[in-house]
Amino acid sequence: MPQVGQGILKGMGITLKHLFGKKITRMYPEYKRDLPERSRGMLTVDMDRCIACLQCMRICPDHCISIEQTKRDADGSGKPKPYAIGFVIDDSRCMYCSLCVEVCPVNCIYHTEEFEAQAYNRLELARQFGERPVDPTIDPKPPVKKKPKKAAASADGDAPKRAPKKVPPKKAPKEGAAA
Amino acid sequence: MLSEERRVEESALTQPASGRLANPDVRDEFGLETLDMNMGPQHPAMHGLLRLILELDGETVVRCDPVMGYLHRCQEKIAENRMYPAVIPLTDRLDYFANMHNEHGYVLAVEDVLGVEVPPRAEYIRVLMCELMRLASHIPSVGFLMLELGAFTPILYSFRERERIQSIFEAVTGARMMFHYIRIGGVKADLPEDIPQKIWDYVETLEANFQRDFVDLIQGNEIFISRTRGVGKMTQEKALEMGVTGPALRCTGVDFDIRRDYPYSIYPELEFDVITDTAGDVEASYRVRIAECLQSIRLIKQCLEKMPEGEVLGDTGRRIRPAEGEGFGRVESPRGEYAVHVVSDGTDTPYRVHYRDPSFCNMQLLQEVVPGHYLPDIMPIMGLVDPVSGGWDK
Ligand code: SF4
Ligand code: SF4
Repeated sequence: MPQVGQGILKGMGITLKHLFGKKITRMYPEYKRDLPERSRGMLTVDMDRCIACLQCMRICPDHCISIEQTKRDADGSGKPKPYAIGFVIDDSRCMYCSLCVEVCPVNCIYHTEEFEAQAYNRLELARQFGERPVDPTIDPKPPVKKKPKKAAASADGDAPKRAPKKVPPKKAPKEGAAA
Repeated sequence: MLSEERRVEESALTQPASGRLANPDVRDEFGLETLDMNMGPQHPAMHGLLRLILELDGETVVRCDPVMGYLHRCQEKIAENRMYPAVIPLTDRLDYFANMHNEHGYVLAVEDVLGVEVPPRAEYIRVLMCELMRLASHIPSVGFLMLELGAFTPILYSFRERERIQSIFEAVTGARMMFHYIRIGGVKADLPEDIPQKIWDYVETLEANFQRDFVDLIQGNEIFISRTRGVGKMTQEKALEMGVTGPALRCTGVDFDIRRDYPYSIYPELEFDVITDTAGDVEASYRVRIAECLQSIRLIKQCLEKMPEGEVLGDTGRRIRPAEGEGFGRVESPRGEYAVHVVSDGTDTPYRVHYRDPSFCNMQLLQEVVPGHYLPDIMPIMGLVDPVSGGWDK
């Protein structure tokens, strides 16, 4: 049995050593550390380059991007092209997952270094980028499920529509539920 | 020392819990009734949002029923309505102390059903990140265990290390906690140029400081020993019966580790030991965690040395739409076996995603182990199980 008190004294010695060491804490609002290059902060969009392809809106899992699309001949070529007249990013829903950034074909939506998103009202966090404000509370349509063709062709009326073939019978939905 | 008299009653180890719980009216020799008490869900020492319904006989716990569900977010149901890649950021929110492992398990399951080839460099980066994550989880769990015993210093040291690891993660993935880094078919992006050197330097300094800050500080401390030795004692059979995994199982002496027994990724190419201990109490789980940290350091160094050059993201096509079937992925998360079962019906979205989270499965240990202990011993036992709120409630 070790002599009682020895372990505690040893621990105290280590703590004391740290007391006179270099400080590792920093006072946050006064001191801000440099963020790494890849750091993901609040989103921003460069409206001049956006081609209104709506891919970011479709992929966003939280439906936080809403785009109002029109046709406009912006570059004077005589052919009207899709144009994002309204563009809103609702930061109160965004989870900074970066899916929209990766999917954008012209890299015009990107993360900034800003991360201090605070407001008194949720709607203040919806940031408008287009000429015309869009209501951020209206959900854009969720992604449409495309059924594979062979599933639609099955004439089996009893089988539940989305039941996969290979699942063991225990995990498949009950037959009685569909009948 | 104290450990002798605090040993759990023999009946608590041998009788099934249901028998003890079925006894509605436990009276002592004076005919006094027991007292029901709620611990949590908002309790300063509780790990997240957990409510324990305790039945106390004096200061001895007679019955302990954990009540979960205060953080339930329907993760599995939400996953059914999202496209395969969009589920990955959700898995980050499961066990928020083992985000990389969550992503890795889900991605392994989807890759299983999709049948996609993962480039070797991506596998090395995945394992490197997972082992860093294990360090960032085991070190704070030791700190939390000490915090629950009333020592405040170790938690500061452990969070200092965790913050440093998180800074590495931020440079690599862009976020400090919710990484969304491991993707179906590889990882999101290659490591930044200076990062391998930074990780190496960090791991070297950690190895040098580890003995001083976490072993010398705690091990041999009389208060620590008297509060943990013999507390939460569990037999091997009981641990196996309950399906406990991770350090809580290994501290009873069962030699089981998914990384070695059901190898995935590149673990067969790496050298590491599976740490076991024989005591099966809280102190043993502390020793297992400490030794596993050193093994993680060893794995990180091997990964950095062996890492091949090349691609980091395999070709999965523009749309991820697996054929009908099911996939399974299991990884060794810091808390035990984390497994994901994905069932595909041939559409863009999974038909079913099921997570087997170690926090949830290890939690049943409380019902079996806590009865017979004193009330203040519950917190060290929670440190043994080390559950995470996001994990058990999903
Ligand atoms: S970062 Fe993610 S959640 Fe935020 S807008 Fe982009 S896709 Fe949506
Ligand atoms: S993906 Fe890019 S180009 Fe397309 S609508 Fe979004 S921001 Fe505009």
